[in-house]
Amino acid sequence: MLDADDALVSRCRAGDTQAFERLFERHHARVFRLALHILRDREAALDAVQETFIRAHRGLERYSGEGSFGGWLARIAANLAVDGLRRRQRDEVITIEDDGRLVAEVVAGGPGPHEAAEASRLRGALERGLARLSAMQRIVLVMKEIEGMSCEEIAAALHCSVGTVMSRLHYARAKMQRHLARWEGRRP
Amino acid sequence: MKEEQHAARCTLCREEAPRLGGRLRSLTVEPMSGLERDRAWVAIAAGTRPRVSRVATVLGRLCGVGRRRPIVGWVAAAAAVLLVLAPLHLGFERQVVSQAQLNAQTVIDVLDAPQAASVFVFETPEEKLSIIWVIESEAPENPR
Repeated sequence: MLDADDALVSRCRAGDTQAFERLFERHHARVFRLALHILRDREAALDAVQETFIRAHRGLERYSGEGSFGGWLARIAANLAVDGLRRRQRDEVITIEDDGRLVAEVVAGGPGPHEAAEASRLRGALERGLARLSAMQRIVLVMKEIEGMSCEEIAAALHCSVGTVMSRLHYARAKMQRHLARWEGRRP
Repeated sequence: MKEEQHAARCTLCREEAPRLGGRLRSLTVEPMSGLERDRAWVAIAAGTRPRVSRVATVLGRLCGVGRRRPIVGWVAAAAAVLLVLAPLHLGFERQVVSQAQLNAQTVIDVLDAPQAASVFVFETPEEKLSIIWVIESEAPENPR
């Protein structure tokens, strides 16, 4: 995967546009997921995907090959998403406007109606919990727990220290734990 | 390393993180549809297309014409040379003229003098400054 990415990057640098399309095919889903979790707005996330790949193309010469290409893209996407959030000046609580598209329906197949309803309730609780976090706490939590990025990668993406990332992560987890504990206490 | 050190000290991050992570990863996102993907790629392709400046485009076309019709090429080359050299030449001429103007001296008169010497009166046209030159036959020809 990594070697294939590097080979495609080399071809891109030589001017092969098809190679860049292949890179887009390989990575757009992850970039979109990250942007959507951070921005919580599908259209904004789609814009972020476009801008991420355009910036990546322009900055291909700066990609040194250290670390994965996907991680490098995630860094660009995270930066853009953070910029987008700052522009919107919604640094605190964001209301949930779940139009049914942010979270996919995972009903297909296995679980019965009871399990599906339970999963749906948990999903709602998680979404509300994430929405109550500050933007930076949410970004760090999403990058760490959903995208599986290391604290060092997150720190590099957000231009802050590893200590700051870990501190935000800790408070985000604490808030989520309190929120989920309350939700579980209220559950019928 | 820092992370592990923190986890060793912090019960929340050690015990709660895996459970919370698992729950968060269950938050699946509806992926981009085919249409969204196509729209995104069209925008990206447009945004990453190499930008050619207008000057380069015009020069490219001119070179193309030059290759197809050599006479046009030669005429264009000559015109370009003229366009470059003419102002340079004019500038050089202007410089010479202005220098000549600065140095312009008008002989006003040759005064009567003893046979051994010649006396000239010069006047610069702008400053109206009169200079008298006396050249003596025995002396070196230096102004006094």
